[in-house]
Amino acid sequence: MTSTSGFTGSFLRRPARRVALTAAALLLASVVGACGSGDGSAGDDSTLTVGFRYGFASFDPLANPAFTADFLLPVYDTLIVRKGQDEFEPGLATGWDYDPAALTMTLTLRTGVEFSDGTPFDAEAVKANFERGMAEKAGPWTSVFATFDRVEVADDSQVVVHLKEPLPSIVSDLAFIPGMMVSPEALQDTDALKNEPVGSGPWVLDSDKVRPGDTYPFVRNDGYWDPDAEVVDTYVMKVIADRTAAGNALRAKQVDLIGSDGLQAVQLEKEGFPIGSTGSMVYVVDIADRAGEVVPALGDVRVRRAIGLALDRQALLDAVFGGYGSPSSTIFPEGSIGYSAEVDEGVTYDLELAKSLMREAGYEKGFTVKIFVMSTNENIAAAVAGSLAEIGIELEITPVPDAGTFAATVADKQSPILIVASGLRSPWEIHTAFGGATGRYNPFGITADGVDAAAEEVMALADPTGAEAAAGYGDLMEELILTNAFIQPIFTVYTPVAMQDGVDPELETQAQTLPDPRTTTKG
Amino acid sequence: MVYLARLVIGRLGSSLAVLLIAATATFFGTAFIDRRPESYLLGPTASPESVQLLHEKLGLDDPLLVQYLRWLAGAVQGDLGTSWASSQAVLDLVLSRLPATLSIVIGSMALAILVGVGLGVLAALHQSRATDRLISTGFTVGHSVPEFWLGILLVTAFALHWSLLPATGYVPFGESPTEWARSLVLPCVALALPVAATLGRHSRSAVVAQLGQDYVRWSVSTGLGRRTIMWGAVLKNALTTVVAIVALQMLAMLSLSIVVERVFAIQGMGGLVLSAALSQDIPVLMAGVIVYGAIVVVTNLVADVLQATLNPRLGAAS
Repeated sequence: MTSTSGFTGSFLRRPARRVALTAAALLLASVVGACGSGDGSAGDDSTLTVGFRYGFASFDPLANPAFTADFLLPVYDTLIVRKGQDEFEPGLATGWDYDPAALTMTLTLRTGVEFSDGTPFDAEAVKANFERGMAEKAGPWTSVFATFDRVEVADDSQVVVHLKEPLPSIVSDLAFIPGMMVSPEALQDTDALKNEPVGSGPWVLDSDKVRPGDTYPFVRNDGYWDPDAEVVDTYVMKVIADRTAAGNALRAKQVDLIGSDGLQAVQLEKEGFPIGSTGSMVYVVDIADRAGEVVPALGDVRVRRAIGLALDRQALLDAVFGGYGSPSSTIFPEGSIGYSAEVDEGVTYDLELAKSLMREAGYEKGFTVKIFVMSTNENIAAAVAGSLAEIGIELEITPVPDAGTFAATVADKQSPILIVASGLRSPWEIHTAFGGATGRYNPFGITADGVDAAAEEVMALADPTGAEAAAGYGDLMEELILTNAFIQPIFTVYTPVAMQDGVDPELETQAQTLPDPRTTTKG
Repeated sequence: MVYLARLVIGRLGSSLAVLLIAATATFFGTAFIDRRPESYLLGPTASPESVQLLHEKLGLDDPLLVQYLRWLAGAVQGDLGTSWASSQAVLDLVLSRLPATLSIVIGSMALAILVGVGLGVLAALHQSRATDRLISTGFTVGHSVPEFWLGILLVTAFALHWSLLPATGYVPFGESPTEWARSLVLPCVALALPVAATLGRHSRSAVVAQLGQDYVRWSVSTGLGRRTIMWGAVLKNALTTVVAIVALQMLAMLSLSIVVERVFAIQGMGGLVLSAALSQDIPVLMAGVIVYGAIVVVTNLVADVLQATLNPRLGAAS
């Protein structure tokens, strides 16, 4: 009998095997040997490469939601520039005034500015941009432009915006996407604008080197109007959705800077990467069922207040975000518009007081609430549930994977309590979303006289950024958080940024997620 | 050859039917989702009026059948519509993402076949000896390691520790063939290993089964050369089985590629379709189903043709 094993031994014992192995080794050597010849961003002082978490699709500013604004900043100037929470500086507009009724805003414009296609920036250009916004039927910014009645050109460098009703967030809005100015010529073809931005910013898009959805390089705009602007020659944005991958890109020096999160930042800091923090997200426990329609207990203000008092905000922040943020019941820090000392002092961590309020309200034994949360907020929801269990409130949490499904559960009143993260930056936006009768996070549509009255007072203010406004917004937040306890802010989380040595961003500027490239130096 | 042509034409017809069924099922499947793209597109401060306008603009108020027929009419003319999330032509989006995914999937499959089938055959030829045991243990390990974990290990070793290969990113072939190859090495290895292990096990079993057949012993006894027996009969017969497994593994590889693309920050079809699903971007989701479906259909077609070539009786029977 012939054994098959004897048959098998010589197979592959041939020179062919050596040839194959040599060829494979040569191929591998040629691939590996080319190391270091990649895009080599870090190490070259004239190029700043940043990793960004979200995908991007269009350079038409008005097509972008807030979280992709970072892609627009290199090419577009805003009319007003935000510095910090509520400091505003001139941008393309050198000044702005309101009439006493806050129904007209006059913008004085910078002269001698040109868009990158050579079109001059003037009052007609602003008018064209605003009117285009007003004509948009549906988009992330239609609610801003819906309050614009008409736009009037006073002269080349002055434009007057007539409003249908006061818009308290107008300065904040014009310091963001609605205030980004596009060349009127480029507005003629908004399809082309998606891929070919034409702004007046310090960089222009290097279209030939764009890898759609992946890499967006911007090269210096030689004709930029501000000769003192010290900016890098090339600014590159790379989309890296996964945090771990972003961390690895930083470690491998493929990028100079990444947006991170608290727990990763703690690790990267240990490895020696400088950490800073920029834009912020507010985490809020929103008692949506304010009249107790689904869970009667929530209709009692004492129960709603108890929820706020049961939250150990610092412990929650440490557990979920590695401490990167600011535990606060007020959302807005002391000294800024929207801060309320009453809230700061009245809504603290006080378990005993919370329990006594629950007893007083007749809910000593507690109750159960079924809620839905975005899966991205599952950790914080679980931590909040732990806090509320201390006063007998049991949260049964169902995570949902996407924003659309979550929005459906909210709109259908399936979550009597909402635990949400919000990038809203002004107290007016917070009010609109959480307190307004049609607010996205007020699905039961419940308001209170005190809230409405405070909101009306704010709307009547002539200057939404002045001292009067500070008091007005403080009252509004007090009504929302303390008096009616409709919402219980947990903390504000900063977006940590991790970077290579030598990268020096100015933090807390207008950028949403990443530091503003205009104030970031390298080398 | 005539039966091969008949096979291809027949399969093409049924493939189109399969694609249509998959697309239809997906479209009507999305009806179970409460479509609210405004939560992604308009943000939390959107007014009810702008939400209504958005629904009108996207045609969401039309009956589902009307929406489906509108999509189908466009799709048969090569117009896959416009992305709800980005307002870009879906076809352009797909074309910009497809090369990365195809590079990874085809590269990984080639690697998996080379390594898996090669080692499987080698193990079979050394059946029950140390080499066989070593390779078989390797298959078990390769099968158990999750590809995302393997990806992270590879990045740590080859990109961060030794700085030999890039940690993340994909470079298009047209931009730099060398960088393209370098950017593919780690993702392809991560994706290929589990598939190689599966192919290896099946290849080993298939070759062992063939080697035990009477015709092999008979051929050896007649004095036929070993290489002739191996290439002419054993491998040819064993590969008929392996080809079917490759086609099945292609499907698994497409799913796994979504994870690998994420770990290596490669903007391919996986990320596009995943974010489309999460943001309820139905036109992009539909395009993803068509593209993935087409890849599977083409793979099956190639597998059928290969099987028919290797074993003409199969082709004739079908």
